[in-house]
Amino acid sequence: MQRYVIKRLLIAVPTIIGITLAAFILMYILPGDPVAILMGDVLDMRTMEMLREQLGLNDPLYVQYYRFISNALRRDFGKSYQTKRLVNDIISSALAYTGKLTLAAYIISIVVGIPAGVFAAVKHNSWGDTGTMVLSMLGICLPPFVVALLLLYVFAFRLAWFPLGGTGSFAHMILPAVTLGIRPAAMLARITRSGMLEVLRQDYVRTARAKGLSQRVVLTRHALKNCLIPVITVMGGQIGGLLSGSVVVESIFSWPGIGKVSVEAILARDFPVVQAVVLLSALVVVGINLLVDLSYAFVDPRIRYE
Amino acid sequence: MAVDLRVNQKEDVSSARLRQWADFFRRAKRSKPTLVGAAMALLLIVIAVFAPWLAPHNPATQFRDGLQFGLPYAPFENSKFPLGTDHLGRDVLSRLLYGSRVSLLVGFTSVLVATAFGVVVGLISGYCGGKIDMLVMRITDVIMAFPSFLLSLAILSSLGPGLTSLLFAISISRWASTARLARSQALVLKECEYVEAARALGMGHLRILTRYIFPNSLAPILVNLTMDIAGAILTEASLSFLGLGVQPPTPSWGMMVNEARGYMFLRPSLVFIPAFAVAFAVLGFSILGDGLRDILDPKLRGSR
Repeated sequence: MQRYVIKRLLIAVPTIIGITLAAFILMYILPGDPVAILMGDVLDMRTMEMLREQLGLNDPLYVQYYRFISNALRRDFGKSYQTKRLVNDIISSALAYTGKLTLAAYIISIVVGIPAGVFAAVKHNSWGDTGTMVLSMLGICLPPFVVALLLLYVFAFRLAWFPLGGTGSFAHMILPAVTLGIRPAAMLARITRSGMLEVLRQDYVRTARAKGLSQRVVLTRHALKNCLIPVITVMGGQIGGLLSGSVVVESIFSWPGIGKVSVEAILARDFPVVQAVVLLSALVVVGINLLVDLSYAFVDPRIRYE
Repeated sequence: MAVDLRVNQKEDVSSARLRQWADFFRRAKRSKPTLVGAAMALLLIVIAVFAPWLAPHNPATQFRDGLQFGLPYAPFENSKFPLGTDHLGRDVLSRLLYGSRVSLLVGFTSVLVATAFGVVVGLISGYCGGKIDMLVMRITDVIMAFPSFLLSLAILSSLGPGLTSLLFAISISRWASTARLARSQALVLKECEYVEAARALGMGHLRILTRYIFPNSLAPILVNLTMDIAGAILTEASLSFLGLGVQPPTPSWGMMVNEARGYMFLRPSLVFIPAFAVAFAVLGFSILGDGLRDILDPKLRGSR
């Protein structure tokens, strides 16, 4: 077990270094002189040069990279060009909002997706199965912004059950969370269904049935437990998609999370914010993938002894 | 003797290929999702190619009679504008038909570029193994760690909006997963007996890669490519929706939705007509990809 954990942790190290390098390089492909952006209309060569020196833009690249890393480790990403606020403050409040939304989306996807998948597998080749699969195909393929606008129109405008956007109450969170949760729910339904179909044919399930256990116990204790690995993989794999999806969804529902912050920063070329968002979201993805890998060992004892 | 052998082998290979294709079409005809998806994709391609002949008006013209008391026409309100007009008095139907061009152009081109690059890198990486493989895999790890849409967004903002930067931004975030797929294929195929036989006959690495490994890895790559087109169309629409895609006056579905957002509660059709067009395109290529997977790789059936 310990060896497995250490091996996985070590594999993540080069990836993390690569991510920081990529985020750093992004600053150099971004055309547009940060100094010019900072100063706005005032174009005075002497002041510009001073500012450049002050920001350390004249140092060799490796010195700048080292500074970038050591600052990032202290969670210091500089100041926003646009609002002059500390990037760390902007990001941490946005992260909290996106975290809430992502968590809600995950909960929705588990509560809807897994039972739907089990239902489809148990009713294999029936209308219920086909219907669930068609719905899940729609859930995977419908663009998030289409779903968001549709929900907004029907439930916020026509029926006026929910607010049109913004934050403040639990009700504000429902429409964006549902929008984000539909895709992972559909994925989970599909993967649970195919896993269950496989497992339900196994001898130990037949044995459990023969022992006279109830359908519920057979399904949850014997069958579902054994198709958890692909389910966890899919859920872990969805984190990148959820972060991507949050960009569009948050700007439609004016939810002040990472997605909305990054769109605003990108449109305003507010470089330190973009860099921090990109870096942090990649680290979150790596972290989640690591957790997923480690949880395999927890769920499936065979992996521990590999 | 050796020459004879090679001729025979060639005939065998080509007749086997023919049989494979015939088999493919036979199974395609029986698979409903493949037919439905192919029909949807074909419809889009026809619309995109013949848009200038199908569209009743120029998509960029702002008609003076296109507005009624300053408001856009709803669908079926004015026979001159079958699907109504937008806030500038432009014909929605014409814009919708022309919009398919951007979606398909971006979808096909960016995916073809990403797939070509990913396949070359992936096959070489898997076939060579060792340090090259290690390095390539770490690079794909890094690229795949970035949420793809955020990466495209950041690249696009640095390059500035426009068609070329759009293609670049989408391709860069997509080649890594294709490279992974091609690599896994190469890893399996290079252990196959016929590759060993080819090597024993003294064939060069390049020849083995192009003649034996590449053709045999095509099936999953083709499925992946179809699915990726759906993803790229969605990415283009989302980026255009945020105002970072193609620039006006070129009509794009994502941009149409974006422009209509202010009129959403007044004229919902302005938002939902192009939004459903995006959904239709994404759905079409996804269903096609799903169907192709069932045909080409029965082992993977229902795995998603």
